[in-house]
Amino acid sequence: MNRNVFRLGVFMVLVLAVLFGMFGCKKRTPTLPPPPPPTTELETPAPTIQLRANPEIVNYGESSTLSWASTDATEVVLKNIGKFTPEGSTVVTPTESTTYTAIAYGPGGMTRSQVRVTVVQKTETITPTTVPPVDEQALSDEEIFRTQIKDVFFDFDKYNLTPEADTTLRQNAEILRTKIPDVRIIIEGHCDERGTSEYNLALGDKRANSVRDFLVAQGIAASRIRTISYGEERPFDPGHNEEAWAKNRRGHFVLMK
Amino acid sequence: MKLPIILWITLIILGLAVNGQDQESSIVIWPKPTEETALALSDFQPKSGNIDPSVNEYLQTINEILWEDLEYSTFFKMVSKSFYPANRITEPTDVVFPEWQQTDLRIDYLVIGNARLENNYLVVQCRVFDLKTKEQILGKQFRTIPRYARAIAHRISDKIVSLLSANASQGIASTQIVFEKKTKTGKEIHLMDYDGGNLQQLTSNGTINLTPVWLRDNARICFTSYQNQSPLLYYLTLETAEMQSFPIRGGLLTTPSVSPDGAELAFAARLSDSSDTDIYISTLDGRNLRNITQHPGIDVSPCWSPTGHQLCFVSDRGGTPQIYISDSFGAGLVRITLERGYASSPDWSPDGRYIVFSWRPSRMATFDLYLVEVATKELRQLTQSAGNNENPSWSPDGRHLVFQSDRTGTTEIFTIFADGSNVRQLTRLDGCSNPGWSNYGTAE
Repeated sequence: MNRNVFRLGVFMVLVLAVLFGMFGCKKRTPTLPPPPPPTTELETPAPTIQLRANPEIVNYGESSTLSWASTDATEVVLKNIGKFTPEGSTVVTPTESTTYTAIAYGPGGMTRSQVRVTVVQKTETITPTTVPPVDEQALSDEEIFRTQIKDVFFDFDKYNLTPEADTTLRQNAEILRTKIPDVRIIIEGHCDERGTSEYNLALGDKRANSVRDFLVAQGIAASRIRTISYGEERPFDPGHNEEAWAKNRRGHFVLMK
Repeated sequence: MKLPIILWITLIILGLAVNGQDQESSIVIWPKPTEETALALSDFQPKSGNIDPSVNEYLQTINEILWEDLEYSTFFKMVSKSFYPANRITEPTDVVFPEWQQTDLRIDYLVIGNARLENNYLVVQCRVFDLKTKEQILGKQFRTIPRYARAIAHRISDKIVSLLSANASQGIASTQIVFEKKTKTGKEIHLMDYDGGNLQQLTSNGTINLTPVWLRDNARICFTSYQNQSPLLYYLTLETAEMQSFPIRGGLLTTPSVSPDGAELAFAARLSDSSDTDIYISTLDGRNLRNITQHPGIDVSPCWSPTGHQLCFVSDRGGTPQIYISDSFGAGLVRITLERGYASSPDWSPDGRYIVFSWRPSRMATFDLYLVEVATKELRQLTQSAGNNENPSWSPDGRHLVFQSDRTGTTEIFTIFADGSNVRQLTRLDGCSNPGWSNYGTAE
């Protein structure tokens, strides 16, 4: 009944729209429509960045200066190096040929720029090398995430961070900020089986959000983090002992694809 | 999806209509009726003229289930069949009253009946006689598709209970229970009769589905599902298996509870502008959202009082999970459990007097079911030395509880009388949890 009324409504709206369109066409005058308003001032433009290396080819042991200039950026991150001002330079001494990535962050989004510094090894002749494909780059993020981002563990029925969790999360935040600054993550909250399932849903949620709040306080953009509680529904260890329970009370980091 | 039983069963009143079924006396007999009426149930027979022998199979179901229902109701003393006169009773004319009226038998009422298959329908006639007066005091005919034979037995039991029980109590044999059942991919919502029969799977979305409760009309259930990644609330219409999203969304929405008038939903949620779980109330379609709790910790598992003026819920505001009561706007907050151990999953009794909950008094103890009398805060333990006992839910008559227990080694659904007696195991499926008892069936 309601669905029929709804369908009828949709049909009527469509009919009206068609009629209105025809009516509108007849009324249109041959003069040109006014130009669209300048929208560029209203939108926040995406940042731009240009990263350069001087020189681009160095002998083993020599340094190169990376310099960059950006527009509409509030901060520039050099991957695996650190956080910088929108415009600046830094000296690097690579031991092997390296592709450097600069990411400009601004209110309008983020933009990357890459430059490769080729290191001439003593016995090596200069060979043109190719920039690693994008896939390899993504894999490397995944690799860093998989090997360096650690889960945190909680005490029974607690959602405040232990000193160990605090240390782990500071390290995680550092890695998220400097090494893999453009990945997004999911923090899963988990509980052991000993509480009741309903309460554990809320407890898992609270744990995930404790982790999230900590990372945000450490300067990780909240927009990079999603949280979800699994309560006691997805234990890591199916055992029914203290060892298993300790493993299951966790804030689990997942890379968002 | 199958049509609900209620729609299939058509009732035709044959003989004397029974008056005095008014539900004025809603006094709950708790824990157990004191005086027992002696009842004889003569096995229902194939009606003469029935030509389909498969009717015997349905008759066997009806005879078994009806006996179990009446006995389990505890309103009656069921007189053993071995004492009955020998002849089979198909029609009222088969009853030889002097034989049934022998004083040493001490039978107050006699139940007889018959069944036939007719155009693929099962037609069952049932009659109850008062042996003092030889009068037929109940006569009903039920017509349904044969696989609802169990449902007919439950309906007959409920008729007899409301007719003969001391306070004209409403029977619960036609009620049903929803619960979570573990699967390879998570948990799916399942449905069964109040006695564990007639098991049906309601969801099959391959994710985690949790905390099912009934809406007041028994036509829909509400529960948390991860089917769209985040744990959010959904309605499921039993008749059509149609899923409908609850319009309020957030990081977590769970433990719904339907208000006594059926118009509002209380639930625990972390909405997008918050970083902790609070209790909220809105209409069933998500309008007029109001926040009941504001403290920066966990608030979860709300449950309405039967008047609709109060809520009980779990909060960790005192440091451990305990049960609190407030009015339906969050004012007048009182803790009703001891600030000790871990208290969870409360459910308010239909008469308003008690709140049942699961409590673990110390870290090394197990969870047991306890009743707290709301007025006095007096505690009463219902289960002990039998594993963990969690997530209790009241039967609509307030005489029984359904809950989950791992006492057998796997987590299964059990029922128990509200005085802690008469434990009955309903499932043997491994991984059944969080049962929710339906409301009374639709009145005729």
